[in-house]
This record gives sequence, C-alpha cells and structure tokens, in this order.
Amino acid sequence: MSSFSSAASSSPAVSTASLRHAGRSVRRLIRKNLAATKLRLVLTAMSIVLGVSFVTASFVLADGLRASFRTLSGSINDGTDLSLRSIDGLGEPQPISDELIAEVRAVPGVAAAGGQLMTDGVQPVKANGDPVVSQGPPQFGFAWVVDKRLNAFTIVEGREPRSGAEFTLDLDSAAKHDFIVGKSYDVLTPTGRHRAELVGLVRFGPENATLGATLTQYPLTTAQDWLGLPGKVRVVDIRVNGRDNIAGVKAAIEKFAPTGTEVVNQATLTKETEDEYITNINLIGNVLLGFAIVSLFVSSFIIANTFAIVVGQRTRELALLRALGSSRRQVRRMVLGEAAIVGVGASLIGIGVGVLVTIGLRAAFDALGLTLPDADLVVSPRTWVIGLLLGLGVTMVAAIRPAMRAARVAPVAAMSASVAGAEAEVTQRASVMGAGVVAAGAMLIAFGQRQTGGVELPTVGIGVVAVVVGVLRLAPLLVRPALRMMGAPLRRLLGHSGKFAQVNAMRNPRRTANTGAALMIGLSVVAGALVVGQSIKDHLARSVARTVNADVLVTSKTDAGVALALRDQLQSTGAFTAIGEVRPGEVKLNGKKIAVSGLEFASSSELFNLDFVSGRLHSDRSDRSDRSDRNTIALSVDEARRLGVSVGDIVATDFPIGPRRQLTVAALYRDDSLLADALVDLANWEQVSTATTANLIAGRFAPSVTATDRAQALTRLGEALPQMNVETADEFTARISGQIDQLLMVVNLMVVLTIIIALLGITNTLALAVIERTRELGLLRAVGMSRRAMRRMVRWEAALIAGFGAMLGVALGLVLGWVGVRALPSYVATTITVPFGSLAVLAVAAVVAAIAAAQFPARRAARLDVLTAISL
Amino acid sequence: MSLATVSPTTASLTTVSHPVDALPTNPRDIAVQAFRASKVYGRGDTEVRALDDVSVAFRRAELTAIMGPSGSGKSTLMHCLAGLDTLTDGEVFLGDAAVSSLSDKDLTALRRDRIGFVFQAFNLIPTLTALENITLPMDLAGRSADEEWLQRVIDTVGLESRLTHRPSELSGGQQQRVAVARALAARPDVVFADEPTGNLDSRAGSEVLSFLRWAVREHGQTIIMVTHDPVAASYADRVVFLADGRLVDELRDPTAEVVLARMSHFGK
Repeated sequence: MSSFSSAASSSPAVSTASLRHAGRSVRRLIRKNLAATKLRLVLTAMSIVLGVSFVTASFVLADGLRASFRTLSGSINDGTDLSLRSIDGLGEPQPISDELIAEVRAVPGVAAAGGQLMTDGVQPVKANGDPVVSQGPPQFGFAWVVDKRLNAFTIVEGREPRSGAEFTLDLDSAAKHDFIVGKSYDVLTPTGRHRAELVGLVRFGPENATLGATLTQYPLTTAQDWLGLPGKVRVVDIRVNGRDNIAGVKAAIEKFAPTGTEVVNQATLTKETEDEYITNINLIGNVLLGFAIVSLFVSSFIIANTFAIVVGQRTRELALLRALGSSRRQVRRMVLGEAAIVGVGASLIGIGVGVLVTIGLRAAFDALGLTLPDADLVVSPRTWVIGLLLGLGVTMVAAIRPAMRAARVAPVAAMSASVAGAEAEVTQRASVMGAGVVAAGAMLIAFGQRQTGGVELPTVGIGVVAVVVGVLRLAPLLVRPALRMMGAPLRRLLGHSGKFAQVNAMRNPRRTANTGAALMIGLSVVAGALVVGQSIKDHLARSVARTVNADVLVTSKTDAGVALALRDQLQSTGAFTAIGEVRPGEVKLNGKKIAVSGLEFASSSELFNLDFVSGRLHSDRSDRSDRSDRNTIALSVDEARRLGVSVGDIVATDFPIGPRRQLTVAALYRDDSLLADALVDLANWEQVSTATTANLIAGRFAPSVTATDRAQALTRLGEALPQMNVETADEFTARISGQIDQLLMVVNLMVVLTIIIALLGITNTLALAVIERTRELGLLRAVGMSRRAMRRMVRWEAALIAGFGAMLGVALGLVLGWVGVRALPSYVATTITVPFGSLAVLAVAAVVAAIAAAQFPARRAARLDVLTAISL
Repeated sequence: MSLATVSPTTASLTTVSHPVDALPTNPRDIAVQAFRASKVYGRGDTEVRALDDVSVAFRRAELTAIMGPSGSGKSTLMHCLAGLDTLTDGEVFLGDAAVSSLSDKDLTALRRDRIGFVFQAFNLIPTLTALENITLPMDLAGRSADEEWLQRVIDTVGLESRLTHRPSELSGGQQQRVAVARALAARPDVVFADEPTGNLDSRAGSEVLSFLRWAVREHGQTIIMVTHDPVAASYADRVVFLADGRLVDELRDPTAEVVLARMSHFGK
C-alpha cells in the first residue's frame, strides 16, 4: 500500500507537469501562428511594396524631369525674342541662307541676330585617338552665336571660338574624356576629319543638363564648312530692343523673308522645346508606369493566394467565431479589414521605397550614359494618392474572394476535426466563362487583322487582353491535366519525392494556377518580345541577304548619317566598280506623307537586288545620262495596295521643296528592311532635301580584286572612317541583330521586377503550404522520409508550379509575339519566327529560379521537428 | 476484482527498483529496451521530469500496453523508444542499435525500415490512396512490398474494396485499419501505436485491436501501444504502468477489470 500512497502524494506534481506540458504546446502553437503571421504579412506586403514602389518611381522620375526641363527650356530661349526659320513642312526645317542674318540685323529695333546651325554626329577625338562615342544621346556640333543672350551656352573656362579651327566643348564631356583647354584635337563631322584647338569649355543652360549628349561649338563659317552647309543656317535668332517693338520687328522681317519661311516668337519657341522634351518624358514615364501596373497586377494574384490560404488555415477559428455569434458580415469585414491594413501599410512603404527606386533608376540611366539633369525627388500629392489607391485597391480586390469564402464557413466546422481548409473545386461556370472570353478575344484579334497587312490596334489590343483574362480564368482547369503530364517524368526520375511534388501541386488547382499565372504574365511578355525580336532579325537577315548585291555597306555609327563626301573616298581606292548611296527623305503621295529612299535608279541593280513583282526601276541600262528616271517612282507592294495603284499609274507627289509633280509608278517591289516603301531617283533629290548625308553608301568590288585585297580594303576603310561602320552585308546583319538583342534586353529588364514578384509568390505559397501541411509532413518524416527527400519534394513542387506558369507564359507569348509581328510595318517583319531555343531557355530558367525561390520553404519543411509536427 | 488479488505484484514492486519482466529473458528475445532513461524539460524552477530513470524491456512477439495518467510520461517514453524524441539521459536500444547515437539520417532510416507507427489521429497522407498509404514506408525505402504478405494484411483488415479510395472517403475506423496495415506491411521489428483507438467508437476500436492481436499471435509481430483505455489494454500480453515519469507497476495477461482497478490507484 505504501507504494500507492507515495504515488498518490505525488499527484499534485503530476497535474503541474501536465499543466506545464499543456502550456508548452500552447506557447508552441502561438509561436507557430505568430511566425506564420509574420511571414505571411512580410510576403504579402512585399509584392505590393514592389509594385507600388515602381509606380511611385515612374511618377517621381517623370515629375522631376518635367520640372527641370521647364526651367531649362525657359532659360534656353530666354534671350531670344523672335526666330526666323523655314516653315516646318516635312522632316526637319530646311536650312536658310546666312545672308538673312545681315538683312535681319538691318531692321530697326533689332538689337542682335545670330545664325543657328546644329548637326548631329559630330565627334571630338580623344587624345588617345578614340572618338567619343555615344550609345544613344546625340552628339551635336553648333555654330557659336556671338550675342551672349541669344546663345544657350555660357563659357565656363577659356574663351569662345572666334574664327578658323577652334572649338569649345561642354564641360561634362570634357571632364569625362579628359579634354584639356589649349590643346588641339581631331573632330569627326559629316564632312570628315578636321583638326581644331579646344579654346574653352561651356555650360548648356543653367545646369549643363546635356542628358549625356556631346556638344561642340565652332565659329559660324567653320561650322558651315565642317557640317556641310556652306552659306546656310538653320534658324536666325533675333533679340529686339524693348518688348514693345517685338510685333513691329516681326512684321518688318516678314515683309522681306523668303517664301517658305516664318517668324515665331519666344512663347512659341519655349512651348515647342517643352513639348518635345515633355513628350519624351511622358513616354518614359508612361512606359515605366505600364510595367509598374503589370507588376501590381501580378501582385494581386499573390495577395489573393495568400489570403485564400490564410482563410483556409483559419477555418476553425472563423467557424468558432461564427458559432459564438459573429455574423457573416463581421467575418467578411474582418478579412477585408486585415487586407486594408496590409494594403495601406505596404503602399506607404512602397511609396518610400519608390523614392529609392527612383534614385536607382537615375543611376541606371547614368550607367547607360544617359545622365538626367538634377531634379528634386518630389513625391507630389498625386503620387501619394495614386500609389495608395492602387496598392490598397489591388489588395482589397484580391482579398474579396477569400473574404467571401471566409464568410461562408459554417459554424459546425469548428467542431469537425478536418485539418487544412476544404479545397475549392473549380466550377463549371468559371471554365465556360473562361473559354468564352478566350474565344471572344481570339475573334477580336482575327477581326483586327487588316487585309492589307497590319492590324487595327484597339481591336486587337482588347482581344489580347481578353485572351489573357480568359486564360487566367481557365488556368485552374488546366492545372491537373498539365501537371499530370509534366509530373510523369518527375515521378520516374525522383520516385516518391517527385510523386509528392506532383500530387501536392495538383491538390489545390486554384492556388497552383494563381501562383503559376503570376509567373505566366511576366514570362509571356518576355516570350512575346523574344518572338518579335527573332522575327525582326530573321526578316532583316533574309531581306539583306536577298537585296544586297554590294560587297561593302558604309553606315554611320551615330544618327548623323553618312557624309556624301565619303563616296569620293571609296572611289579613290580604285577597288570598286560601283558606288551608290541610299538617302532618306519624306514626300507626300496623293496627299499622304510617307518615307522615301533616294537612290540612283540607273545603277541600282549593281548594288541592290530588289524583289520586283512587276516593272523595273530603269528602262535603259546603257544610257546613264537619261533623265527619264526623274519622272518615275517605285513602290513597295504594300504601299501600292494602300494607295490603290499599280505599274503605269500616275501618283501626285509633293516634295518638301518645289512644286507638286506627277510621277509614274515604274515598279512594285516586295517590302525590304533597307529601303523605305517608296523609291525615287536621286535626280529628284534637290527637291527632297539639301542634306549632304545618306543612310548608307554601298560599294561593289571590281571582279579583279582578290578576296585578301577586299578584306584589306575593308579594314583600311574602317580605320580611316572611325565614325562609320564599314561592313559586308553579313556583318551589317549581325550588328543590327545585336542592336535588336540589346533592345530586347531593355524590355526584359523592365519585366524582371514582375518576375521577381512572381517568384516571391512561389516562396510565399509554398511557405504557407508547408505550415498548412505541418502534420502531414511530420507523418511523412515519421514513416521514414528523409530530410533530403522532403526538401526535394518542396523544391520540385515549386518547379512544377513554375513549369505550369512557363508553359502558359510561352503559349501566351506566342500569341503576343504573333500579334506584335502583325502590328509591325512589313519592312520590319512579315512572318513570325519562333525562337524555340530561347523560349526553352526561358522556361528552364523560370523553373530553376523557382527551385531557388523554394529554398526557404524547402528548408523549413526539412527542419520540421517530427514529434512537434505530429503532436500539433 | 478486489485489491487483494493484485497485491502480490505490488509487493514485488517495492523491492525491485527497476521493474523488469519477471520472466527469464534472453537478450535475443528483447525487441526494444530503455535503460535508465530520463527526459527532462525546462530548467531550474520550471524543470519537469517527464521520464525519471526508467528501465524497461519489451519482448519480441508481444503486445505491450503502456498506461498511466496524463503527464505520466507514457507518450514521452514511446516517442523516445521510437526515435522520435531524444533522451536527456540513459539509452534506448532497438535490437542492437543504440538509438541516441544515431544521426537524423540513420534515425530516419531506422524508422523507415524497422519501425511501424499508428497514431491517434491524422494517420494518413490525404493525397494518397489507401493502398499507396499502406506501401508508403516501402516506397520511401525504395523496396518493393512482399506481395503475399501485403495481400494477407489487406485481407485481414478487410480493405480489399477500399484500396483505391482516398482517406477522406473512408470512415475513421477504416482509416485506422489502413494505418495499422501500413505499420505491419513492411514487417518492422516493432510497431508503436499511440492511442490507436482514441478517436474510434468501441466497435471500430475492437476491430483495430483484434487486428493488432492477430499480427502478434499469427506472425510474431512486436507491438508497443500507449493507451488510456483499459479495454484496449486488455488485448495486451503485458501492461506497464507509468506515473510521474517512473515505472510503477506491471501486469501480465491483463483483463480490463484488473487494469481499471490498477489505474484507479495511479489516476488521482
């Protein structure tokens, strides 16, 4: 009996122990819940923070730029009361005679007048012999305007260029490339290489906001010679004595100004400068904003998913609330309230982070050589409002469905022992609706196709959006069949880990679909861009290979074009039998403005092998002095169809200069990457442009020149013309393809944020799933699954989700790409080419990234304490 | 049953500090044993001795029930015996393996290859069918099932028609029978059952217990079962009682009445 009494006496200890035991597990539960909450809050908020920060950055950046450009454009035109220039008809204003400067000066009331001359593609050569090259920002050469108030430049070191071979340079370029005042440098201009002394450094406007441009200034006559416009200026800037005289002076100048010119006042000039800049800034801002909104859209999937999972996990808690008397409304409000708090908090953080992103973006632009002017980081009230509304709105909308589901939880669920929340089945209705929306979208895209090539953008745009929305609705239905297929090899390769990965990814189709869809959106944009890029590159390669008979193509490395003087340089080598140029211009055909290419019809077939469907460019090859080509025009097939003309028809042609003429259509050719949609003979060119530059100069070697001599000639020419690309047709194609790839890179970089958010979504979903499946995972460990297998299981679930997203993304990308190619003009791309390799790499990369993103939940799953997990 | 009938055993307890089975034991007959096992949670004032110097051996081909009031340490003992939890002091031997020296990897392999589990609740993986659940440990080990044995187990538990069903489509009793089938299918050295009938009505409970009994009787399976239920304990060959983390008593060939009487001493 004694033993029993001892047992009995210890019973208080027993109850204390069991109490402590209970306390321990309760604490454990609370800790677990807290950890889950913290994790869920951080992960949910993160996607909103990223989206909102991008929105904020696009506003802050654009606002800052707008503000500083307003100041800038005002100050640039500050001293100029009036400007005399040619009427802006087609393309850029035509140069006018510099004799007008003297005539204007003679007008009573005029305080000063100066000739403005500006040409792109002027490169100073560094002391080490390398020209200053630019990846986009212009490289302008200017004529120095003597009157200080008419001049946008201010000397900050040395003196102004006065006469002869002297020049000045903007101070940023000077500092960046080590130009020293007092030394002589070479300068590359459209007319060739010149040598001049650097006599001073200048500031552009008040802040030298050059946006990375290289700006050099020369005495007027030097500029005229070197820039290839002797005796010409682009604009005559005028300063008037006394504001009251401006109108009188304007009238007086208008009396003698030649026809085709106009006199404009300062307000017009300022507005024009501003419009030009603001349009560009708006474009940058809107593109950024577009990507930002896409990433917010992606965030909404992640938020929806998180709330859905959380509601599922809290089913019993919610049911208990309902059992204790909460109304559905209260439950719904509780979930929405939580969403609102998360939304507001994350949006506010996002706006703050957005300012940092702006700084980052500016640094990125800087790294690309595009220095933006200093601007204050202003978060305007509009930015606050839109950032908050978007962040909050997206969160709330995403939380609606989970909130409704939470409200539907039956009180009796509190009593049932069911674990994870019921897995929502995809309804028939959703699938029918999804399929309907996809079909409607496809129809809109089909309707939007023009018979003549090209697309009706609004119709097709709505169609594309409809297809995307429809696919999003259908996605949950596609999960099971798709994963059954994709998981099969995984099962074979990885055994039970693969099997569990597959089964787990399939068990809640809506969740997998949402997580995958977030990835799908970013990937579809990348895939679409890849398809469009590849199609453009292929078209270019085909087109160049077919068209170019020439052995050498000379093009400009800048936007300046190729100086015609280079023809002589090619001629002097004696290696070429044919040399010709293609010149850019614009004309109006039957009243419609289009781009034209100018080339010598008579010799063109030696250099270019156009794909004529009817007619030919030049009737009589033997007689080159024949001027009859003057009266003909060749059109691309598409352009002819648009104009409704064919060979032999007459087209009314308005040239920028001179009277309207009637040209006969001589030939129709298939679209071409190198040439515009209309060709006119160079004999007409004095009516098109006075510019002394060409798009390209092509040369054909004499048959006697050996291959080695050809290669040497190319190398020598390349060295002699550092501003030019001297290439064979293949090299030309390769270089342009490289540029297209660079452009694709920029697009892809913009999408990276979206993809990061989607990957965060995968981390988020799996982390929550691991918490949700704690007991199940514990059981698996108890019956012998190793930690490694458990990690692998979670990682491959992520891989399958990403694989699903990638599959849809690539499929949608093909649709986007196809529409994109259709929307492009036919000389850019005609047929769609699918870059299978790149798309496969894209899909694999997405899967690999997802596996990396699952690292955290996978480790968490593996670290689960078996005992804790099963006794929870 | 009166108290008098159990007093001889009680008397023996007072003289033996570490009660071991009274029958002669060949070491080869021992499936699992704990030697001076202690498990302490917390420190100082909050220290709780869940197991206090427990030495106990479990013979092969026997169904042993571990009983005791809440907080007596019976679940802790079972978790430590099964390699799910680690001792603060002492050692557990599973066959010849000293469990405390094993790494997580070896423990995982041990559980997979030599131990079967039946838990009170949440015993099955919801995404797998009944058959897949049964063969899970073998699948995890990459072994194929002994088809003949598997078929016998399935026949005995009467699940033939339910094999392709998922757990959510089975009743509680059926789920637990699947769990028992899983524990037995791989012919582990020991099956640990933690309150296997705790969530079942008495009819389903007795089905599960008969099944366990069958495995011991017909196939020499070793089973260690933690239970609250004297009726469940009556299916055992032997019952050991824990209180305050110490082994306080044991019974051979118990009946429900004897067990109940014994428990009333430790319960309060």
